Amino acid sequence: MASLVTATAAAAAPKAPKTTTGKTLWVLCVLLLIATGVVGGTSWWVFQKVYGTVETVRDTTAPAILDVLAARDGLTKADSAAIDSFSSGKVKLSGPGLQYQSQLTFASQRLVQVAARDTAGRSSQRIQLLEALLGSYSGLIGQANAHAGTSLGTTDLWDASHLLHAGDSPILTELNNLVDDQARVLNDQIAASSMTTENLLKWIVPIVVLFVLLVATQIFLSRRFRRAVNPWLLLATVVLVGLSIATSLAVVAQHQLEDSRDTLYGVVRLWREQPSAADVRGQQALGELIAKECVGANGGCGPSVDQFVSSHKSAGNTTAEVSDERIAKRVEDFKNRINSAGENANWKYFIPIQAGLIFFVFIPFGLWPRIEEYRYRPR
Amino acid sequence: MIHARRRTTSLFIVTILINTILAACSTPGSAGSVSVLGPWTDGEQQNFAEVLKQFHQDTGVQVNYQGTRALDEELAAEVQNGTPPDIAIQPSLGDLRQYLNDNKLHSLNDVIRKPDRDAYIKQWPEVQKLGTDRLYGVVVKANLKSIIWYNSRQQPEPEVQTWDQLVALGETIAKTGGRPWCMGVGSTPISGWPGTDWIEDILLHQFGTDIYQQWASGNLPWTSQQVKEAWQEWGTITATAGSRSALLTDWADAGRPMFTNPPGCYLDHQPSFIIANYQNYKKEKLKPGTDFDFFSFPAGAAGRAFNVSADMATMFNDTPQARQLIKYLATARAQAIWPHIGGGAFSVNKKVNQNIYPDGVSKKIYGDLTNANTLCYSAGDLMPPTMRNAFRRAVLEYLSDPNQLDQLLDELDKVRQGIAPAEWLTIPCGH
Repeated sequence: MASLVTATAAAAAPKAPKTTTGKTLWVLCVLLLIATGVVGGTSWWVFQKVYGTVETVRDTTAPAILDVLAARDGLTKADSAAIDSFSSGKVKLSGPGLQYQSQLTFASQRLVQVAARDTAGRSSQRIQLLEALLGSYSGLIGQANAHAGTSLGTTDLWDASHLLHAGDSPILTELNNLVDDQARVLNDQIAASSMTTENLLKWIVPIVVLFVLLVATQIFLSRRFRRAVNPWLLLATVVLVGLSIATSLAVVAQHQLEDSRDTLYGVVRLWREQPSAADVRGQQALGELIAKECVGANGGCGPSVDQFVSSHKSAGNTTAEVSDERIAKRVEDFKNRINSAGENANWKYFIPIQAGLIFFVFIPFGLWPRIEEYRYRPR
Repeated sequence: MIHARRRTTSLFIVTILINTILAACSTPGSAGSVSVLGPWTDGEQQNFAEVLKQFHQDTGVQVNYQGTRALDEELAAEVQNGTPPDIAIQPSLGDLRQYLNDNKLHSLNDVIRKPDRDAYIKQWPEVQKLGTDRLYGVVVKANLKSIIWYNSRQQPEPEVQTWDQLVALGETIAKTGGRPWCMGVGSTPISGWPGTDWIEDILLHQFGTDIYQQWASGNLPWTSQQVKEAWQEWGTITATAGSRSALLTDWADAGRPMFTNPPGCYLDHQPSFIIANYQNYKKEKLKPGTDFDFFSFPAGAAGRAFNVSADMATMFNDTPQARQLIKYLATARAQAIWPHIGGGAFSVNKKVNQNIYPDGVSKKIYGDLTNANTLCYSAGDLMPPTMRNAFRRAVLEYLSDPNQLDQLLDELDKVRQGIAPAEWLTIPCGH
């Protein structure tokens, strides 16, 4: 009974090659299949990692940074609009004005968008604080409106604008913190997909190994079977080269991604270092309003206010107008760069197809007939 | 023999392992971290960093300090979000009382050792208990109010014993064409507190501690004769100080003209922490005692009394690291670091040696904080936040138009009546 079972099992199992050539063919076949699997896996991993990062940066992290910048821009425009209403005398009938309301709402909406994206984890807390501070800001504008035309009205307007603009302004600090949080996330994301030596080796070594194996197999077959070239393995080699080229698109995309980041940081720097045109006009108008109050005040208004008034007296708009345009151009430039970084993302489908062709078609078709030949043949 | 050697070897290995584990546990950086939110920024933050540096060296615990000018808003946002800092340093007891009512604060009764608890002088233990019978805070930095600064290079100490003499001094300066009072109530995000300090001082010194305490705890109407008189008396000061100027001038700038030649103003009513600002008005730092000095607010019904305030550390998250830091901040060793650096920081821990204060002016302030007859916590910092903010706003409104005083007091009283009794704090003046 036991011998019958053993005999049946032996008949069912594929018969092991009985010759050295047969064994070598088997070993080469298995090695080629393993190497192909590894190449497919690592190439897919590299491609996905880079293009996944491009997608995340394009759709989440960068828009979050741009939203914070837009919110800041909205706030300064709201502030300028309110100051304009006060300095032009429109405030008595129109209050701080529709432009003020709409820009403030726009800024709040942008902040809500940042919270929705919340890539940094702390955004919602910061935004909650910003909303509280914006409540204080709009409260002061409301008080200024109630006391329009009096010293107290100007004081409230000054306090409100100061809350938004001063070097130690908590609103500016929090907006800067928000950008910094997002920038840290962006740096981490890009660093994770960057072509470090380790990542490069993970990608290149399997390709080189597979290539060497394919060449070695060709040489072995040509010597053993006296044929110039095995067409299936040649096809596998060509497809491997194609697969490598497809994957190397990820390396290019990574460079483009890093360029995009630098462009985005250029926008952030510009935003931090240069005020917008509306901002300059608003602060200038505020300076004129306060100067009128301080001229009549016994004791003046203190060095901080005097410094503010004098520094906004001679400020021209030309540079800032350019700055507005430059910011818009840089944002456009960034969007173009990040879009072109992601434009080859669909090539990812070629990787499994090419790897699959090598694994399921070219290697089996290239080696199986020879293995079959040697399966029963004694050397 | 072999067994004995094996036992010795095993014992040796176990000892090494235990020591390695203990050493790893005591390595700095592995001791965890503690987050602290406080009001100090810039120079004050640097000084506090020195206090924290010692703590880090002692324990290895990393302290993540965040200083902000919008402390109330930031703390409220973090608490509401469910992510408060482990420790918050707050000057407003009114805010802290609300957090206590909402069960957000942890008691420090079992955190601070009794000798350290007993080291606080006068009414500070009462302050640290927030009007309860349990300890909730540690005073990190105390401030003396009820003092008036002058340029000691330009004039000798004015001889002022009574309120009338103080008013007369101002009028004399005004008659000679000078502006007697340096005044600025600007303070982003909520202006007005330098004015509330004036009202508190006048009320305390003219009507005594009982009336002051009733008012600070919400039991004296704003429309009362005493409160109204305090505002009117302040009106005599603001009339010579320039109300419009005070509205737009930042509190930290107010005293600058005192150091110009000729002086733009002569007297500055500011708390003790202004020392740090004075020192930085000029590149060659102004020196306490040589360039500026102070005299006490004229005594009246309260005798020699001072308003005081403090920045108090409270625990929002009960973690081992937070406990360690609170315990450390309460020690005389920690309390001595900042006063030793200078810049208007004072400790009310009686174990801190007076000699650590770097100049005569600081020693005098320390003396007043520890030996004065009466210390009353600043009413503006005791009141619930709604009342405090309305009080500050009323200061701005009054400066804008003193004729609306009755209406303002009426509105302030409506705010007072709308606040639940549990929100008011009763902390008696200490003797």
